[in-house]
Amino acid sequence: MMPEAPDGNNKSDLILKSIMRRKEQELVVDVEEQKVKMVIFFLFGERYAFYGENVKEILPLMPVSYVPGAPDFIPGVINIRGEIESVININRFLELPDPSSVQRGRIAVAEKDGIRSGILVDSLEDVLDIPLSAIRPPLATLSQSIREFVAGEFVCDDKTVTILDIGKIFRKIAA
Amino acid sequence: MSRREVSNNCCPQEIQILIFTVSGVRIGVDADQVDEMMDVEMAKERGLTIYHIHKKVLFGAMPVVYQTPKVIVIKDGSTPYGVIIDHPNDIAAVNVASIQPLPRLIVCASPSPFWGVVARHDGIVLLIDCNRFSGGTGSIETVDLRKSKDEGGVYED
Repeated sequence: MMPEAPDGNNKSDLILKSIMRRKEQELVVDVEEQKVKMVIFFLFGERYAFYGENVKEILPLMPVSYVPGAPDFIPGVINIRGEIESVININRFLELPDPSSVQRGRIAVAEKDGIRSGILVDSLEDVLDIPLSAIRPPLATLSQSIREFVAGEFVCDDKTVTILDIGKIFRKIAA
Repeated sequence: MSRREVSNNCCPQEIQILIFTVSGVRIGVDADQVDEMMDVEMAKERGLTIYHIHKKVLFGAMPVVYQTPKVIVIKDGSTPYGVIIDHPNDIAAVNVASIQPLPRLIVCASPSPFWGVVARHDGIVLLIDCNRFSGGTGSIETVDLRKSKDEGGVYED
């Protein structure tokens, strides 16, 4: 027989009430805290992310048709179900080395402010919902070539993820 | 689009595209712009001003090898001129509705000689307007017509 608490309530009932109260508080926190979807990927061994609302789909690597005269960081165009889209080599755009292996490469189709393009990333890691409160300003130690395109950073699995602003990238190219 | 259709203020529903390949890049030109096609030697004998297509469309540092070069004669007004192309392989009817503009980032990032693009069953074709070519660099006098040792074609960098 379960021992009774001093006020006469069954101890197990007290424990269950405590658990229920804790869960109710957690629910309140979840409803109030805004979350944002992040698409996390690798560039030259480092973790980066795009805001999920800007990423329309993730495609496996596909043949890229070279367009003569395009800048070095735009290797060409791809055919996505009949629609021709440009492809940005984000490594070259950010002045990072190209990956040694492209086997795990992916093309993230991004859209922002009426501009749409594929973005070549080294590999895709995850798609997560991140609390807005977890996003903090970028470190001042970021390299110059990257800093102007960074929207912030957050920590995921004890590792820093740098958020890239697709709108700033597109505006820079289209300027 | 030919000047005839433009002057009539009428957009055709279909155009004939001469498709050729230069260093793996598939390029198409409106067949209405092409007066005739001939060998390079014949074009030189005719005294035509001739341009390399790869220099007009800015292949940049990418080495270009012409395997089966031909000259297409473009009649721009009253002065015809030639453009050296490679691997002419098809004249295809293309529905105008299937032609797409170049993606915006490519157009904004650098001036492009291509005016459109077509997704065909056998790949993407970049559309070029040869009426924009006359004048500039890349004349035939720089061409070495001797076949290169390894490639068996005319090499031009």
